[in-house]
Amino acid sequence: MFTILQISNTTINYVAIGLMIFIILFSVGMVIFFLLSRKRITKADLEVRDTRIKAQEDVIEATLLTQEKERHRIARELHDEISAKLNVISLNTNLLTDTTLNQDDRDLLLDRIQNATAKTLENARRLAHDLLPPVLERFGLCQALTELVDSIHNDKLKIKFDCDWDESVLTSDQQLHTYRIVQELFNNSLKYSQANQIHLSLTTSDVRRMVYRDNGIGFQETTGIGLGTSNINSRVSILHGSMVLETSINQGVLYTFEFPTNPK
Amino acid sequence: MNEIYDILIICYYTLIAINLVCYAVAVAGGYRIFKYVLIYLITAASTEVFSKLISKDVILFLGEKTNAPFYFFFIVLQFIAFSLFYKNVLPKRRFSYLLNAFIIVILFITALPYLIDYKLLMTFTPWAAFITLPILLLMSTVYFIDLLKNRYGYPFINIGIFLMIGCSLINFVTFPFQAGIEVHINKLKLLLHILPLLSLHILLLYECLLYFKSQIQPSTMSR
Repeated sequence: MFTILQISNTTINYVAIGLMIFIILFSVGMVIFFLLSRKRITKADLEVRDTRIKAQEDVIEATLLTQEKERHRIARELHDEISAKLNVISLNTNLLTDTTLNQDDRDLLLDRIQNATAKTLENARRLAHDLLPPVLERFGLCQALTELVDSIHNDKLKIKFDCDWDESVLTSDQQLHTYRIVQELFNNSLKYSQANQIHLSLTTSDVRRMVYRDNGIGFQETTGIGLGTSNINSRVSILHGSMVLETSINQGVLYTFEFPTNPK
Repeated sequence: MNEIYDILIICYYTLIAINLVCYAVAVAGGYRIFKYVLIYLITAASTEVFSKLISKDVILFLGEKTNAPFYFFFIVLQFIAFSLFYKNVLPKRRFSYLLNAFIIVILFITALPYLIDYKLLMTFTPWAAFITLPILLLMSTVYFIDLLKNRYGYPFINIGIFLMIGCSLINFVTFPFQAGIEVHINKLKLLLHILPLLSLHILLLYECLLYFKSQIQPSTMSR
């Protein structure tokens, strides 16, 4: 009886030792697993950080490109439209000093000078308007967008627009960024979409939401990002907002922007 | 074999001391979750100190030379410390208050025989361990499953607790079957009791060092 009990106790203890060794080995395995998974997580974190840095670099690059493009445009406008007209005015003014000219020639020159001055003024006004729409500064975003919509709206392109944003809580910079985003969206629709209907809606609920929809030819979302879209992305990023684009071939585009209601 | 055992015991004491300092610094630095581990470390260190004092006849407990009461208090405080740790690290659920009640009920069940007959404190009984260790093992397993889904947590503390509690439980379960077994089996079991303890303290130290490292990195990166 004693012998049987001894064998039984020994067996039980061997089983116990086996179980303890199993637990130790299992735990060692788990430690190795967690060490490796931490290494993997760190690697993944680094990849995410690299991607973010790349995205930031893209935004900076797009911003610089946009700036350069804008400078070129302004330089071209100044050179072609304003300087050229001022040259015409200068030349005609010099001609007026000629005492041998008869009254008809003088009238012709004066007419030319008046026309050139009017055109120069118009160009200068347009250039200034493009740089910073005065209505945006004086009457706020909704009114500026109304003016923009009125300038584009015609029989071939119907635009439905509504805006209930409270501009008093937005800084002038934030309003300008939003205005530029809309300008870029209209620009894209006019250039590429062949749309005949656009709906732009700026509403406020728990977030400030801006929805832009056109019924144009749309595009594949996998298509590479252009400068305009990069520009929109960087402005959305500056406004701490988010942008969702839904589009496909012949299905138009639907942009949904969301911005915080208490922007900093 | 005895020499190896003595060396391992010295390593164990050294690790307790190092961990006590590290966790005290971390808790003082505002990392509150480590306070439960610190409670466990203080309990473990106190139990070892009192056991040594009793074995060297420096003190007696109620006139008797036994460290059984310290063993009981150690098991209870270990349960309180680790169960509160798990309560805080496990995802907050709607039944969090039920977990509080559950911990209190388990503590009451653990203490019940000792409340009925306080003399039980003076003898080694596996009752407290039988009640509390499986619960801790269960909590450890639940947290372990949770850690597989979450990227943040304390996997090394958890593995250490799982290892130590699992081995301790097996030791206690086989406690009544010690009679007549060979000496080398007993020594092997003893070794398999001290090794998980050492592993627990090494893993606790590693987790604490990971915390210190995470505190150094942000200030270095911000330069």
